[in-house]
Amino acid sequence: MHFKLASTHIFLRHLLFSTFLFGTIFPLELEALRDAFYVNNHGLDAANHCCERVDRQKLKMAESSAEVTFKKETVSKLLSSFFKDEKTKVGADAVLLMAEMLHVFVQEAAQRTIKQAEAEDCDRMDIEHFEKILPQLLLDF
Amino acid sequence: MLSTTSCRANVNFREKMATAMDEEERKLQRLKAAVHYTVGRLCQSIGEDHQKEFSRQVIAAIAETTFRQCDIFAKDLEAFARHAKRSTVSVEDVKLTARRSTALSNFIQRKSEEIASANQEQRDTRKKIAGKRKNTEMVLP
Repeated sequence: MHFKLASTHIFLRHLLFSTFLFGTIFPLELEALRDAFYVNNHGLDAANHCCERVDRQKLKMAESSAEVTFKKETVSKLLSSFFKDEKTKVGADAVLLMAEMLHVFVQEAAQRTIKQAEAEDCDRMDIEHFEKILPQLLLDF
Repeated sequence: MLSTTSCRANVNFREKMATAMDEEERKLQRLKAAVHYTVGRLCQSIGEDHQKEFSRQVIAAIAETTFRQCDIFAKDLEAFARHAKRSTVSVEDVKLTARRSTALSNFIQRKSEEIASANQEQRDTRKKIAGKRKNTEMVLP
């Protein structure tokens, strides 16, 4: 029980961390940040209502998980920020392939969490289901 | 007098380092938010397919894990490119990163072939358009 509280606290902190952002951001991500600000200012319930409404609208646009992918610029900047040498660049095709790989990673994580929750007979995905599949996921990648 | 000027120089240098690090931090936070946004959309669509809901914590956890996994991918890609005495990460490097699981490497192989064939088609259509333009130019005196 004590450990569960500690881990949820850490993950909540990570969520709130991502709300403290200023400056120019990729245009579509602005909406996600607006939702994140709601969490901070208006309390969790209001945030959930507002976020669910916005999410349902976005869902109408992206019907299947095949249409939602990582943007090329995001992947490119993400990889470049982790390179130790500044001269290292990423080819255009390599960026597309890495976007696919990250897509598969997130899909695997999500679907294994769903299977774990189903195996435990739970309706809602909780952090403990994700924690249980995390080691094998990291070993497989 | 010398001591005060050197003190000021020290303080200036420290301020510059601090602002540079803040800039880096802000950049990282922006990237994290971008990843969080796409992961959120993906999880929503996968949840819709299975009629299940992901809690906000799980989405944040998956986003954080994807971000850290990207770090590992980027370091691997850089090492492979440097091993091949290249400064640009290529498709071969990405394929090597996917070597741990057979299913994953097959999937990445197929995707890379799709991307290569799409590129080839683009190049062919561009050649055709350029060819037609040349023909029309030569006909008109």
